[in-house]
Amino acid sequence: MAGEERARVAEHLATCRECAAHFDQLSELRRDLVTLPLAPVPARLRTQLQVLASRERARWNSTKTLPLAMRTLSINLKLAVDNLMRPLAVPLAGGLASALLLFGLVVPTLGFRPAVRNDVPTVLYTAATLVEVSPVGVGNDEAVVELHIDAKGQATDYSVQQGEVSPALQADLNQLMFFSRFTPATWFGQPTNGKVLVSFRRVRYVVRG
Amino acid sequence: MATSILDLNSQKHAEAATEFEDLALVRALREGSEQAYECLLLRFQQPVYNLALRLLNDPSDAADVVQEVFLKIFRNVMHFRGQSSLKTWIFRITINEAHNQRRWFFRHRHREVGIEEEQEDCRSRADILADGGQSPFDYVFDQEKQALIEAALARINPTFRAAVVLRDITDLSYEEIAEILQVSLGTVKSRILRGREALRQELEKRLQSRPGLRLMPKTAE
Repeated sequence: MAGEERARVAEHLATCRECAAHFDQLSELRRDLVTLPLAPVPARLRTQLQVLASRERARWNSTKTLPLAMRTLSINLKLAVDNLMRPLAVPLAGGLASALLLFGLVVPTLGFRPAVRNDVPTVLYTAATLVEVSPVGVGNDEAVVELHIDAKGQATDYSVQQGEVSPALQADLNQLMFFSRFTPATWFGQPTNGKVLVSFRRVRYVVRG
Repeated sequence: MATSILDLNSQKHAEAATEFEDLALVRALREGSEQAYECLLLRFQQPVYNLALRLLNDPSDAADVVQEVFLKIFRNVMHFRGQSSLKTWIFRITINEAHNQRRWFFRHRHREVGIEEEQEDCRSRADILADGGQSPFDYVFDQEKQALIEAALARINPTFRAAVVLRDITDLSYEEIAEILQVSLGTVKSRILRGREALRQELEKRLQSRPGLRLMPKTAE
């Protein structure tokens, strides 16, 4: 306040009891505010500030020049990659190892096409077959005969399926049964009884001209 | 008259010395000197903490604010152009951070209830030793008065509170306060005046509602 204004206020305060009281209260309040004690900085905060200062100083010193900044950047990058990969390393290695183990266990049980061609399947029924036929005479009869082949590959019986068996055909049939070689039928790889159909047909020779 | 001129000259010298000291400190901080960091903490951690505490009225919030303030100082000291004094710049950061903290508090934490006991014991052994300077009555009286003033201070408008704290507790000039709060000189004076009046009314209200606390010294018969 300027000198004149200050004097006018002082003069008013001297005459007005209410304003003087108000002024006194405010002055006392100011004095009380000035004398409020300083709150001490907590010890923990002091330590935290020192740590903060140390960290920030190190950060600032590490970025002052370009080579230092590049070096810090590379270190930080490496650290970030390490931090990223480290938690993944064990699960990744474990996952890979368990996948290999499971694959190794499962693959042999999978059914693949056999590499050897014409292999005889052992899990199914295979019919008896004629391996070598004995020499038979040439007759005029026609018939279809079913031969019964035992587990040893020998013909044990026959039944006529079509046509009639004449004595000449009977002789041929006997010769065929005794002197031909058969492979027995198999059931799950084991020889068993089977049947073979044999057809006798008349051979015609037509000479023209 | 001669005394006042001498006072003015010494004040100017002190201001120039402080300014020189501030510039040297800022230069050392930019160079990354360890001593400069320590010196900055030693000079400003107490006033910054006190200002934050008076503005927020909560020791843990004040501690958070102080850390934020020093983090900003360390990270932005290279941008300090010296247009204001270092103290003004730091106090402006403190005021802004306290304002942000208060806004954050009202948004997020005003419904929180602490279940931990206050473990921060700031008192040293010297504080709890017997003190022959003050009688127990005076001590209790002063404590109660301070508690009343602090409670009243916490209840007034934060805008006025900042101005009163900066002027009457931190003892800054009107010009410095105007620079810190980034308002005009007239606004500063107005805020201080209204703040003091609000504080006086608040104290009056509290004292009237608690007549039992008016202790009167009495001689034992």
